[in-house]
Amino acid sequence: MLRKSKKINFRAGRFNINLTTCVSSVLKGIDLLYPHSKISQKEIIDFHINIKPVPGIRHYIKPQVEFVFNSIIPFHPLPIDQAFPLLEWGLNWCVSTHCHQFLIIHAAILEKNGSAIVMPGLPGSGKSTLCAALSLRGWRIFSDELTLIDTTTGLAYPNPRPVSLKNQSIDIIKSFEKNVVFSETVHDTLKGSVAHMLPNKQSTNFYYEQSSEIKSVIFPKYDREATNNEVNPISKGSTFLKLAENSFNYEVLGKEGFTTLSKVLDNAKCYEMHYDGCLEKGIELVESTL
Amino acid sequence: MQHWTKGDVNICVYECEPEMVVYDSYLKKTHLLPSPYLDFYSRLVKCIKENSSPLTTDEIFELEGCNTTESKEKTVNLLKSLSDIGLITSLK
Repeated sequence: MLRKSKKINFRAGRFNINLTTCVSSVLKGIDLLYPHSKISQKEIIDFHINIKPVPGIRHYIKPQVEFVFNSIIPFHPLPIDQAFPLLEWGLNWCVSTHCHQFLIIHAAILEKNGSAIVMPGLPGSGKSTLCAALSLRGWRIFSDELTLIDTTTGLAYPNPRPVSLKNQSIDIIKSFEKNVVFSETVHDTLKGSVAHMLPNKQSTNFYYEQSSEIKSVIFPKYDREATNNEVNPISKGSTFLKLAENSFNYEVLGKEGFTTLSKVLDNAKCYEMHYDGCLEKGIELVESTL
Repeated sequence: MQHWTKGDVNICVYECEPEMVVYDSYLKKTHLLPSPYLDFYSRLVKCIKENSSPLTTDEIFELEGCNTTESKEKTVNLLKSLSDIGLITSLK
């Protein structure tokens, strides 16, 4: 589980990471889910991170690891088998608390032919499952968690990283498409069972500075009992407020956040989508909004 | 998007008929507001800012120049509507 401490520089989405760790599962996860992302020692680093074992008795009994960013430990330690998910959650935290050049919304965002769709959603809404399925049908993943919107232009920027899937969604996506690369499933996390999926090549090969206009904002609502799969327009006003609520830094940005959302909604159509979990139908409904 | 200035109250407005999204830079709040209420809301915010305290209903009547039962009822209805959409809290 532990090895000699190693320092690596790699690109996680659009950010450069310097990681120090001696936890084997973290290094294995990076090899598997961030292939070809190693960068030279000369690159400017955005975040310096350490995933390290908790010292003392926890080193021997039920070992735990902690996420350290610039000597700050923002989270409670987690069991060592959750080290890779901890890295992923920690990276999300780094971006959402520091990158205020963007309005950051808790939402999946995908792009195809220059048009982006944003899918905010509460846990259980099916957002990540639908995001993974769309990416397996030719859409580029900009992000499954953090939509980054430039505050000057209102355009979205890509930040493709592994897709986090939870509980039943893991098997649903594995049966939806064979030959998808997954990390090992980690059980008993705060979010249940968690696995990460390697994004498709067109997502990670995408030019990171190529922005995209958001054409649709869709609020998916997974309901196994739903009698109709349907997508219905909703008002821009209520969408505005929901996006503000789902943003990590709308209040930090103040008026700038307001003007950024105004720019987004000037060009986007807004929808609420009900689907019963049939992914092919879900994809069809999403594509019908463009 | 429009920037409205009512006196020294700065309000940014995003118009999306039949509603408006209003960002109030004094209260640092975002509200969804039916279009007709904007002027009334602006006057309330200006007064709150000047007093640096919440307004009572009587103070709002005074602000709006309500001296008849009819005009008071009209103002109370406006306040209730704003309360219903979460713009005003602690309405008595």
